[in-house]
Order: sequence, then structure tokens, then C-alpha cells
Amino acid sequence: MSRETKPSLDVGLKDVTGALQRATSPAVRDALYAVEAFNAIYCAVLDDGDLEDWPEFFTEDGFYNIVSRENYDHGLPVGLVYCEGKNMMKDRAMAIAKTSMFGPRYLRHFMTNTRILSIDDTGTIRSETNFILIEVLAELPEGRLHMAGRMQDVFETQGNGSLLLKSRIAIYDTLLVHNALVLPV
Amino acid sequence: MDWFKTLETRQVLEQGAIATEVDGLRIALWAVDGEVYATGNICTHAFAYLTDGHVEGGCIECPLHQGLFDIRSGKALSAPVSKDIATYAVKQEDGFVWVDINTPAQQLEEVVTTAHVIGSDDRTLVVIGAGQAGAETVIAVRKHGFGGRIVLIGSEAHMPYERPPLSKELLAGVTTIEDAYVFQAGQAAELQVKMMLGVSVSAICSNDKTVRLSNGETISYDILVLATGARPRKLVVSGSDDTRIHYLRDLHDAEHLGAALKTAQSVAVIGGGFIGLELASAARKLGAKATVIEAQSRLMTRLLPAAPADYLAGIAEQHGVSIELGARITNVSDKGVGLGDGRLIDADVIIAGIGAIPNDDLASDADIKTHDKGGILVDVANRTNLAGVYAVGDVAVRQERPGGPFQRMESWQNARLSAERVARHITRHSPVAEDAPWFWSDLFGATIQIYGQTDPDMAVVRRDGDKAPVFLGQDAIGRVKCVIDFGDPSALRAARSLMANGQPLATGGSEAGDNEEDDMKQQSFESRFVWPAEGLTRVPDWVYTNQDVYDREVERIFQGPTWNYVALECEVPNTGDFVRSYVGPTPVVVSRDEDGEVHVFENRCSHRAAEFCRELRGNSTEFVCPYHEWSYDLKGNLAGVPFRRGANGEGGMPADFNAADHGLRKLNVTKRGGVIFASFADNMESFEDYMGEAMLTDFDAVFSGRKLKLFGHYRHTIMGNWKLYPENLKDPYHATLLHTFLVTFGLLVAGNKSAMICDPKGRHSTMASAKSDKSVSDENKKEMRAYRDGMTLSDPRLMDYVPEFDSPWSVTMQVVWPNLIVQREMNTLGVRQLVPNGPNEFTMIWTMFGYEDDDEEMIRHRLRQGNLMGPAGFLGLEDNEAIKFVQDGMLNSAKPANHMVQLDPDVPAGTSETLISEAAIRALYQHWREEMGV
Repeated sequence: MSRETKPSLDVGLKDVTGALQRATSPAVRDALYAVEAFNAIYCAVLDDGDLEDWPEFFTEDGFYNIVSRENYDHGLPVGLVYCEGKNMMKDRAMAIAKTSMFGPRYLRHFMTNTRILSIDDTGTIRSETNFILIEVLAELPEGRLHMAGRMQDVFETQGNGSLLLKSRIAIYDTLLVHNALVLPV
Repeated sequence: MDWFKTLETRQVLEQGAIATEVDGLRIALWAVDGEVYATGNICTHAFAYLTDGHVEGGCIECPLHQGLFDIRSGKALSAPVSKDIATYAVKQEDGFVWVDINTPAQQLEEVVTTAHVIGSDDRTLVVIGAGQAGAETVIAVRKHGFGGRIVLIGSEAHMPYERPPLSKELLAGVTTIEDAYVFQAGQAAELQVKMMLGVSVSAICSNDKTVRLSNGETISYDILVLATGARPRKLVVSGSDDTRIHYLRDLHDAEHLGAALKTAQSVAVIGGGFIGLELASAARKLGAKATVIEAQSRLMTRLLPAAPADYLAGIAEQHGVSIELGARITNVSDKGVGLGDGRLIDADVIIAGIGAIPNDDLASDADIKTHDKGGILVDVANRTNLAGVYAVGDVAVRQERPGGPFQRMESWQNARLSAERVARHITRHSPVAEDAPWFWSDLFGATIQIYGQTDPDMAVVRRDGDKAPVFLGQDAIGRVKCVIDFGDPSALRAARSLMANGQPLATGGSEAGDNEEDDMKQQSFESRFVWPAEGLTRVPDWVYTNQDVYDREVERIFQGPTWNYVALECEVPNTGDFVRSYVGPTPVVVSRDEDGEVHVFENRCSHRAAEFCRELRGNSTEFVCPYHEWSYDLKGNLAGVPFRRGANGEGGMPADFNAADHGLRKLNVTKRGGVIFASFADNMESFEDYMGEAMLTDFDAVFSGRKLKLFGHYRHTIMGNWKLYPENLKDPYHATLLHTFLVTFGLLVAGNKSAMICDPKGRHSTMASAKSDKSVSDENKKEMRAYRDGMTLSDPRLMDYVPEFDSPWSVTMQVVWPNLIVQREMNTLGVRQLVPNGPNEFTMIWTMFGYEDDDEEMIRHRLRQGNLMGPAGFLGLEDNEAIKFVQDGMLNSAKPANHMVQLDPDVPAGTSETLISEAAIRALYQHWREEMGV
């Protein structure tokens, strides 16, 4: 899986009335709950857990990309992080956890405003969720906004009913990254 | 028992230390006194291969932090290591070393280590010239631990002696030659120097590294030091062939002259330099009449400014010396010296002291570079152009930095300093801060001392002390650069402290009252920012933290004679395409006009300064400032001014307003290989000349004419000075230490070919390395397999290298001074543009790209490999963090200090073949200092 290089405006924004109506359907409400529950665990692992668990949120062929809005809007593919497949995510988690040098910090992820865009017959859910990342450094104890943007996600429903990410593209509006982005968003 | 066959015994014995791998364990094989040992190869303190370290006396010193382990017992012997390394049992069978990874080596009781200096090195040092400089070189190399053979060859039969007494005590017979010997009694034997005296060298053969002697003997050398000195310039005038003219250079001369002076009635001294005055002084002391004859209009024209020279002439005259200035000598005879005005200066002894000619013939015959005016050319470390050949003392013409002045000095101090410099270089000690030039002379019962750099044209201030006057020579902005003292050492000391503080001297002489007003004046930049005396091995904090220094960088570097990266052509392919960019901190717009030409202009409306272009990129037919709708065409010309003629015949611009004079500020533009550069400076050299041949080769490997395909951008800030980033890429030392990833996954392993290449000016550079195998062989995969604890890549495609460049290197990181980094990390390509935001912060804009002919898989490969770089890249994020830590350290430290950049003393500044080097950083600051005038 990879990212389509041509951005597509999602249908929900073209058809506000239809979107409002779909939001009330029980299937969408169930999906919304499932996605929000998923993201809460996702954030908890990144914030307080073991980075090497992070790839477990993805399918084997999962895709993960952090891309600036500047590039995304122009259909340009380059991102801060580009992982094709869970193996690349494992390598990133290991590299950051075992080999990388960076100053100590607290990171806290927030995901909110989840919208379910579509659910297909196989249980694949497409959704969008806003995110912000707050960073606290030893020399910056008051913390600051490190990144803000939206997630463009494709979830696959597994045999046991749980969700896994088939694709997560983090599109960040905050074009200027402070110094370094050490962990995934 | 778990025996594994490893390498050939012969190979281990030959190399002494080899890394190998057994069942996923990294093992070091050692040969110590003919025995083979096996230990773990990774230091127990920090990640480093011990086989990259230094073996001595059965111990291995870790290359990283110099912790010491005993190879035989594995014992950690010295801080910082405290944990022993594993040892393994070894046996030798069928010519191979077998290692049992489950059994430690048998322990010995006690290991005794001793180190003898002499004999520990199999090189031979030959010194040609047994004068002071040659002998001091011998003493200094031994002092610094040189353990090889030393041969000192001199044409005089005497042991080496110092020459200053020849015109002073020794001439007067007060002391003997033994008092002037450089070696103390027995010292030459103690230092184990082979002395070959009374022999001269007839030729140097650099091809087979030998010197041929006048007695037919040939001597081989590994290191050669030329200390061949100088000989007196001979007077050529009518009668000079038939008249006895004394010169003073060696003991023989001194003995003859001393005898002649004893009976002399009148002495004529030709040449009004120090030697001439010293001899006139000696003649007067012996009661003879003395006349000094000088062709110039005053004494010491080449050395001293007029005021102290005239003062000295006055002293000489007070002591009864006649001085003839502006004199033309027509003839010499046994009656004396005939002058152009017809007079005869009576003399029964004629002495000429009219300069010296360096003995550089041996050198120039051996293709060693010499100076037009004589002397052997050497660099800051006194190296000649031939590797392993140095020159010291009077014969050496030293150029401290490329493009700097050439200096040849004949002084006791220079003999000593140059010997010390060479000895430190031979023994791989870093250079030390040197004292300023110093010279003394005994004249008419007093001692004159000159300290510092003199220049006959420098401004001079005279200060009268209790006993004698002191002259202070100043540079263009009034700082004291030299002191000339006529016998008051306390005044000399005071003056030296004036020199050290680098402050301009209060001008207008010593009158009180002026000083206060002077102190009120703003101090000049040059006097506030004085480079440390140690030279380029130190970089002071203010280079990175001071606002005034930064302001001058913007003016002299970013707006000075530099080519600054602004964009790639593939970002503005069509007419009307534009991007916002920067030259230094200054916002500019890059646009393509109707003719396909690229223009760069300042993003500042000529009306009210508005930064009018707000979009990051776009396409437009014109630029309109939103404030008053002044419009500019794609070339930056002012096209329209609303209501220029006013409304209803009132208001508007003056009638003589000419739009052509009010376009945007345009920059000069150049392009190469699809990359656009701009310059604020006019008359810029071509980009090709700016880069130089070597740098262009690396640049062209990436920008070969293959059309570029834009992949996108990222932008980040770094809380550090902007120069720390180019420095990071001139600092190969950090690569294997900070970037554990590189080492762990075999991207930078011992044995890979690598280089740190600088352009001749030191501003641009390429850090290059080559993967040892072109294709990803089994061997390479093995290198990627790291420790046993599972550090392997699940998706090794990250490390694939697809050869596609006309270059021996698989990785090049090129700094194009001042604002561009070209990244070719295997197949992930990008340019990084530095945008400084003051001294303590900069923004970096990355533009990543591939080529138009990339297929889908190649694009993905480049994107996958992109995970190495950028603010979230495995390597990139570490550099950003490290740079921030450096700036924090400077900003938060108790008091400003200097950085230390003295690795690799072999290369004072410039290209280095080792990665454990900071020579490229020194080269950068050599250039920076010239541009900045500090």
C-alpha cells in the first residue's frame, strides 16, 4: 500500500446534509466508537508505553506516512516518515528505541473530531481524525504544541472483530517542525 | 567446547589485530609477542571496535575513550573502562586460528608492560644542517617521543652551536664556542643521535628517499628535515675581488674577524642592519673608528619603522659611530671604501652585512618548492610540498595559510619554534600557541629587544620609561602589534600585556585627557573579537552566539561574494511559476519569466517595504503588493503605480518619477544542473570557479543533467548557530560516534573507503564514503547483521544501494558555502537550504527529489531510504539534537570559552584522509576569518 499522490477532497465535505444524516446511523456510531477506542490505545502506547509495540497497530502490509500539508496539497510524496509495511515500522521503532540519541522529553498525543467517511462490506472503515502533539522538554517545562494536523486512516476489521490500520497518513499543518520529531504521531 | 575455525594464523600474526565474527559474536584476534589471543571486540564501556584501537605492550587502548584492556587477561586496566572484556580459548590447527566461544582463555599470573621509546619506531629521521635549528629539531623530536633512528648531518666540523654570540661575546673573546653549543655535554649520545659532521649533502633523491653525501655515502630516510640555513650575500663592486672583505656567518668568520678587529684602526661596516650595528659597536668597544655605510635613506629600512630606527642611529652616533646614509659604494680597496660623492671612507677592516641568501639549492634540485626570493616554501606546520620532508630555521619560508603572506625569519627564536613545530608534527602532537616573534641585539652596552610583528610602515607611538624609551608599533586600527625596547624590560612586559588585550592604543600619543574621550568611543569590531592565540585549533563561543558577529556575517557572507542556493529549476518549470526563498535571512522571490529566464529579487516592495509575496509557491503573470497595489513583472521591474498621475489632476507622483528606477532589488543569478543560485554581489566569479574542479565533480554526480523530479519539502528550525550545520558535515569524527545506527547496520564500517575533501579555500567540502561492495553481497548482509540481541533490520531494503552515479562514492554530503547542503545518501537525494534567524537559531528547508526517469519502484526506494534523513530521520534527528546541545552549552555556560578542534594535527587545515579529523572545520574557519576580518 502507498499513498495516492493526488489529494482527494473527501465526499463528506461536499455533501454536508448527507454527512450529518450518515452520522446518525448505528453502523457509523459503532465504527466511531471503535475508531476512537483504537486511537485512545494508540496514543497511550506512544505516550506512555513501549515504542516497539507501535507496529502492532498495523496490518502486515500497512502503510504509514507523516507528510506536511504543503506537500500533500501539491500531490508531492515526500514525508518525514515513510513506512511501507509493518517491517519498516518495526525497524523504525527499534532504531529509535535502541540506537537514537535525543534529549529526554514527554510527548502527549491528542486525537479528536473523528469522522467516519465510509464503511464497506468487508468492514473496512475510512475515517479522518484531527491530532495535536504536545512536547515537553527539560529546557521547556511549560511545553509547546509540536504538531497539529489530521489523520487520514483506513482501518481493517480483523477476524476477532478488532481494528488494525491498513493505512495512516498524518498530514500536519504546522509546517515548521521544532528541531526534531523523534516519535511517530 | 565449541570450536570455530576463523582466520589464517599467518594473517593474524602479520596484522596484529583483526576483527572477525563467530556465530554472531564480534571477536578480535590479536597477536602479542608471536602468540595469538581472542577477545570480545566491542568495548565494555561504549560501542566501539577494539580492533580499531591502538595496541601497545600487550594492551589494547579503545579508540573511543582510551580505556585500556589487557589482551591476555581481558582485564580492564584504566578509566573509563571498568568491566573486563570476554576472552576466548584459541588453538592453531592447519594454519588457522580456532576459537572456542564457550571457554575463556587460560589466565596468566601477571602481565608486565614496559615501553621503551628508542627503538619503538622503525623510521629514520635525517636532518640536513647541524646548526641551531637542526639540533633543536633532534632534541624536540626525542622529547616528544620519537623512537626511530636519527642522523644529523652538518658540513662544519663543530658540534651544533647558536650563532648570536658570533657577533657578540664570542667575537670579543669573552666566551668560547663550547658555551654556544646547542647540545649539553653528552646529550647527543644520550639522545642516540648519529652525528655526521664535516660532511655535506650533495643530493636528495626523493624517489628512493635517500640523501647522497659528499663522501660518496648514501643514507636512507623516512622523514627528512632541511635545516640548511643561509649564507652571506657577497658584495660585488669594483675591487671586491682583490680586497679582503669580512662576512660573519660561522665560527671561522668570527675567529678571523675577531683577530682583525683587535688590531684595527678604522672599520667600515657596509650595511645598516643589526649585524652591521653590532659589529660597529664591537669595533668601538675595541677603540677603533667605525663607519656604517647604508644605501637607504635610514637604517633598518626592511625591519623597523623610522622612529625607532632613527633613535638607534642616534645612539650609535653618541657612541662615536659615523653613519653614511644614502651612500653609493663605487669601489673597495685596502685603503677603504669609495663612495659615489668621491669620498673615501678610511678602513683597514671592511665588513659587509648586506643580507643572507637561503641555502635552498639542494631542495630545489629535488623538486621541493622554493620561493622566488629564495628559501624553501613550507606550510603552517613547516611541511614542504613533499610528504615527510620539512624545512626549519633560516631557510624556511613559511606561509601560515593559503593566500597568506610568506615569511622567512632569521632568528634564534625562529630556529627554536620551527624545530618544535616540526617535532610536534612528526610525533603527531597537536600544534601549540606560539609566542610572537622575538629578537634581541646587544648594542653599545644596552640590549634592544623587538617583540611582535614589525612592519617598516607601521604607525609608532613612543613612550619614555624611567631608563629607556619604548616604541609601540600599531596596526591600521591602533592595536599594538609590536614593541621595540631599548633596555627596559619592565616596559617590555607592560607593552606585552597591551598587545595581549587587543585594545587599540589611545591615539594622540601619551597626553592625558584624550584617553577618556577615546574610551567613550565604540570599540571597533576587530578589537572586540580577537581570535584565540592558539589559532585554528580553537573556535571561540562568540563566533556562534554574538549578534554583531552575525550581523557582519549577513553583510559579508550572505550579501557578500557568495553564490547562495535559492531553488531547483524543477520547482519553477513554467512561465509565471514562482517560489518564495531566502538568501541568508533575506526573503527573495524566484520567478520564471516569459522568455524562460529565471529571476531572483528581494521580497520587499520598493514603495513601503511590504513583503508582498506571501504564498510559498504558485503561478502568476505579475506580482502585486497588496498594500497599495504596486505591481511588478516577472523580472521584478516596476510595472504599475496606481494613481501615478493623481486623480482629477491632483496628487500623484512627481512628474519626474521614473518607474524604471524603482524595480525590486534584483540579485545575480546562475544555474548549474538544474540548481539555481543567487548573489547580492556584482562581479561574482562564475559558479564553476566558485566551486573549483574537485567540488564540481561531486556536485555534478547528483546534478548530471538528468531531469529532476520534485518529491517535496520539509522545514524545521534548529536552536543553534547556522554554521554548526555545515560544520557537522565537515566533522567526520561524529559520524560513527553519534550515529549508532550507521555502525550497527553496516552503513559506515571500518574498512569502508571514505574521505573528507575540502576546496582549496576551505569553504566548500564533501564528506564521502563508499560501500565496500557495489552489489548487496552476502558479505554486506553479514555486515548488517548486528549483535546477537536481535538488532537486525526486518526490511533491509532501507540499506540497498542502486548504483546510478558517476562517482566512486555511494554517499556524499556536500557543503556549498554558505547556505547549501547537497545530500546523496545512497539513493535518497535532497538539498538543504540554511536560513539563519539570528545567531542562535536557523531554519532548514529540505527539498527532496529524484529523477524524471525513475520508475515507480525507484521512487519508492528513494522515499523508503528517506527515513534516514530529515528531522525525523534516524541520522537527521540526532544531528539536530546534538547541534541544539552545543548551542545550549555555549549560552548557558558560566563564562564564554573556546571550542577545541585539534584532531588530526597532520593536516593543519583542509582535506584529510582520516575520519578522525577536524581539519575541515579548521579550513572553514580559516576562510571565515578572512571573510570576516577577524
